[in-house]
Amino acid sequence: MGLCNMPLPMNPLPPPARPLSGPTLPSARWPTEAFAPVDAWALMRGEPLPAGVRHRAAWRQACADVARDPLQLEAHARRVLLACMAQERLQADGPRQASPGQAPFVYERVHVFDALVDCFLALGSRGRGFRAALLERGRLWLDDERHDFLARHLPDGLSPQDALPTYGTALLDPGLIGLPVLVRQLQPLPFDTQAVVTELAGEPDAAPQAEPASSTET
Amino acid sequence: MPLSTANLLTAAPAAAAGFSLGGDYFVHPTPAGTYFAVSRPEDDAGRRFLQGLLAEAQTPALTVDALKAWTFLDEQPALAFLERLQAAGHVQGLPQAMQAPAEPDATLLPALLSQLSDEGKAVLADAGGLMLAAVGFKHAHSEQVAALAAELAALQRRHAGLRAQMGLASDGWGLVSAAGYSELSFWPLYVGASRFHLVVSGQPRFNQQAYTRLVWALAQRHAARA
Repeated sequence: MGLCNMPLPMNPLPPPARPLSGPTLPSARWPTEAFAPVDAWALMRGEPLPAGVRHRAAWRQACADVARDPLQLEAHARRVLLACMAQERLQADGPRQASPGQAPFVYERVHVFDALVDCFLALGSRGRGFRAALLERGRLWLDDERHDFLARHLPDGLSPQDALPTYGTALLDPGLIGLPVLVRQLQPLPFDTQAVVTELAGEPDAAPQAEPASSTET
Repeated sequence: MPLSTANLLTAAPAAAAGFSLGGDYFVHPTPAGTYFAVSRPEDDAGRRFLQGLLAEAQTPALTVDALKAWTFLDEQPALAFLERLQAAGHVQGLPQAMQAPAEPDATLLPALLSQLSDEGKAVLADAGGLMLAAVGFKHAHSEQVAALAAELAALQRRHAGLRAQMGLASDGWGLVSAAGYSELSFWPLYVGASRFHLVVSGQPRFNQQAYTRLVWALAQRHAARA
């Protein structure tokens, strides 16, 4: 029998030593959500999270995106909508009975108001329509007092120097409990303020912006 | 306030009359100022001033005389110095004095630690890797990450020069996902002459008053003994 007539092997590969499923397969999940982030606009249309994407991972990614780039609007929208989804799930499932020493349930640490505050802080007076749309989406999960607070600040946005009634989960809130202004400048400084800041603070990247001379008080 | 080593005349040039206090306040570090003060071992005037505030059992009243005594400067350079800290967001003024945390460690530290992690899971360890407090972790895991924190601190000390050469601004170490998101992070706290390690699961939340209170409590209870 020539080579051309030789039958091809039906199963050229040896059988697997163990099945590819079952308890021997590692239980680690491929972190698909890390590479295929949730689409905020799909959430805006009311679509659920994609299959295989855990809410916790999506929430963490949205928080990291906002902290890394506060002007990323899609991340703000995603974070607010994920916070709304967390509240819906919490309402449906009820609070978890945590044992002593156990970490609180992640959904109990997600607050729509704080996500909105971050958006208002990041944008300031810009993006009023965008902020109004997000405020409307989160209205169901805001008490009247906090909704009115944000509604009052729709025209001008929020400043880090404002007193912010957050729940402690806002990423861009500086966490002030007092007033940020202790000293007032009366006259322009006769020296290079940036150089002094660098030398005194020893932290060039934390140096403040020098105030223009025209902004001084008299 | 124990700010004894600073003579800021060498650091701050004399300024013309240009600053005044904005009112009668009690001066206190912000969370950002607290982080700035304790995240690195460097010794400079700004860090010494902020650590001096945290060494007080009560937020001190801010007056020109007190500021001059703390900084060893004349009035205007001292005010200019405070204005720089203010512009960096490192200090704030309180309308009333506030006392350092007085609760027992067993109740105070877990409550504060819980607020510093988005998952409510954190561990505080001393320089030797001994766990001082933990919340959210299993006990065995708490002790392991506390020991790991001490080893990472030793690693960081050995390679401190490399970080400076590369111009890296980060202060913590972390276990990160493939997308770069922190799963577990280790943060040194240089409080006075003592060093502590803060281990945080998930995203750190240091922009909290709880962070300042934690460092304030450590400065009162541990750094004072060192």
